[in-house]
Amino acid sequence: MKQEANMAKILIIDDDPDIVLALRLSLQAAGHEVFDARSGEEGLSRLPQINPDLIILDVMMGTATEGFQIALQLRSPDPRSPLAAYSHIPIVMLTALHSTTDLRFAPDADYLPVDAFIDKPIDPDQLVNTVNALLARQRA
Amino acid sequence: MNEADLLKNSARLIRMRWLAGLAILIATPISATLLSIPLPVPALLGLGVAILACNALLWALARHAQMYREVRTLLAIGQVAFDWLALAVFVHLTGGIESPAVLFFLFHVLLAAMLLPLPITSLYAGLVIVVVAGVAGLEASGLLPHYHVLTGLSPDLHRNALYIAAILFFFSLTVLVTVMLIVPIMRDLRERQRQITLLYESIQTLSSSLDLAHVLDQLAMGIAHALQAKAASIRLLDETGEQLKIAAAYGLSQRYLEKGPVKVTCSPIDQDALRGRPVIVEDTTQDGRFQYPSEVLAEGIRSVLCVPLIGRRGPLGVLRVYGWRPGFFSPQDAELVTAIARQGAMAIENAMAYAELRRADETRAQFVRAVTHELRAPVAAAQSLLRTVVRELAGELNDLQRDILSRLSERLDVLQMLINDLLDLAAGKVEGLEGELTPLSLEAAVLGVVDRLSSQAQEKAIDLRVNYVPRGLTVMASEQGLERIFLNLIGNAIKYTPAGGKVTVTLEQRNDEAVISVADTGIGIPESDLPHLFEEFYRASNVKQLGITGTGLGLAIVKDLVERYGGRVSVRSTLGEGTTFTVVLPLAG
Repeated sequence: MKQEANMAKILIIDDDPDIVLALRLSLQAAGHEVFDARSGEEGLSRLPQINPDLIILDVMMGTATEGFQIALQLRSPDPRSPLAAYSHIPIVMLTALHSTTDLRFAPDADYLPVDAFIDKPIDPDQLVNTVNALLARQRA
Repeated sequence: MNEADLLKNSARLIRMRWLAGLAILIATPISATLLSIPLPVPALLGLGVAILACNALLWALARHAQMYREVRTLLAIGQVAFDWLALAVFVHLTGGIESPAVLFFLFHVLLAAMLLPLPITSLYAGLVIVVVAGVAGLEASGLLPHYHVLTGLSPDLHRNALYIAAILFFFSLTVLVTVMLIVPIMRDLRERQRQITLLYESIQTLSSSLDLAHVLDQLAMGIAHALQAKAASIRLLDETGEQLKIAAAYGLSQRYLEKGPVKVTCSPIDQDALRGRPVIVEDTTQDGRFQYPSEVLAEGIRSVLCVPLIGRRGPLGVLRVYGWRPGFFSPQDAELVTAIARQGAMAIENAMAYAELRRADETRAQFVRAVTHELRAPVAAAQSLLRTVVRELAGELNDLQRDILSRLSERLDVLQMLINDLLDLAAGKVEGLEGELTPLSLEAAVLGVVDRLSSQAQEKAIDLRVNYVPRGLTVMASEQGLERIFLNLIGNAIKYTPAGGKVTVTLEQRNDEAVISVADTGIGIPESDLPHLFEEFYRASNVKQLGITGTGLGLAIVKDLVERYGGRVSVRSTLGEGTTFTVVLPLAG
């Protein structure tokens, strides 16, 4: 790819436009290219066109577990699934289930195939650090 | 006969035997001297002494009978054998077939009827007749000497065949009639006793449960068992009061249960029962009062007992017991089942009321959760946007703008904390109802929290320590809840302790409880605030004056969780010196 070494295409799937704006401002300031989708369905349909390096997924959208379901679909072990080509993309999940200083469940490959959690409200530094660390791991 | 009965009756028989032995020892010399009856005095006195000696042995055995099964069997057989022998000897010594003591054998028959099963009682009665006939026969033939005690009678009477035959005939008849009279009475008594025991047991299980399905199932099964009936069912009235729907059944096929609800207006039996009167259907083939007659017959139901379930506010439904033959149920059965049903109705009402409360509690908690989520989303979005502005990701700010926006962000932080605590409290109350607790390592939970808060303590130069000896303490709790307790307590201790202070967490075991204390050298809590500290939204007065932010929910959450795990939490504090919170949790297992 002819992109800058630290620049990446990031797809945000979240139905809250204000959260999307906050994410966009933080990520763009860090030099990333940001795309967004307002639903899980829209996000999945735009995958071929965007071909993102990382996906940020909100846990609660239309239903309380839509984000979980999208993550499970993306990491589907079924090789015939059209999404199989994207199963390597790192996923960051935005949660509101736990407050920032309190309990958080660690990513669990069996239960929920995502790579990192970020609690809302978003902390710009923490967000950028997490995203960059995952991208670096992916490129290594 | 059960073993408790055996021991009780053994004790009674031993008491009676003391009296019998003493009576022989006293009455023999008196009768021989004062009444000049020609009794074989030495032999009778010997018998009296033998009875007392043997009874002493039985008495000693009975004292150990509680411990050893073999001793109990020996005791039962020994007593019967000894009493027979003693009585036979006594009859022989007092005149054989002429002796009025022959009648004493009736005592044996009565005792057997009371204590032994019916076939053995009949055998026993037969043996009594054989023994008496044997003594008479042996004396008549001269194989045994005859003591002519009743001097007024002919000395040859014991050899008179007609006399012997007449006495034996009437004696046998008396014994047999006694057995025939007493056995059905005893059988009835035992059956009633069994039923009452079952009734008592079923009422006990019923009133100890608040689980409606369990109460109903136990009731149906308990009654079917108590009456040894084919099946039992409980039908409860629906909201309209017009239909009876099956709520629990025991011994009925799935097909029968699926025949549909019973319309009260179509079922005169249920109508009568709902008015408070038990109904007995003697023969289902002859009764036209069923809404589903063919299903009833196909199920093999030949008789039905239907009693009302009447609660405090009116009829709840009906309890039906099914018999496999016509005329299975007696009016006494109807009385018994009515009594159980009365208790059952109360248990059903209690369980229903509890379910209602649970539903209300859950609805309330769900409402709080929904509201909290709706509150949290905009705050999180606003906070996220605000942070990007404060970090100047959306352009540069001047100092005043940065200061104002920072203050705004801090206020939003407090609002967010409050919402999170509210959500935890609401979620906790719902989770508490489910009661899903698992055994967890207390040490791991406390150490995990201390580890997580150590950077926060370091920032304030607070010396955070844990005192404990690894003992593998395990408590029943939920993982998040257990961590939450210590996050709140240790987090508070750090928050309310000035820089350079100390926070000490101590883990101990006292008997079957774990004691965890969190002591700080912080600002302390005014005494007047201590009683209210665990109330929701309560914050100590000095904290508010010092302008330290908080929601007043943290300790309410701690108390809620600790109590849910069967523990307790307490606080000691001296203003200006420090505070110690102590959590006591029961150890698992």
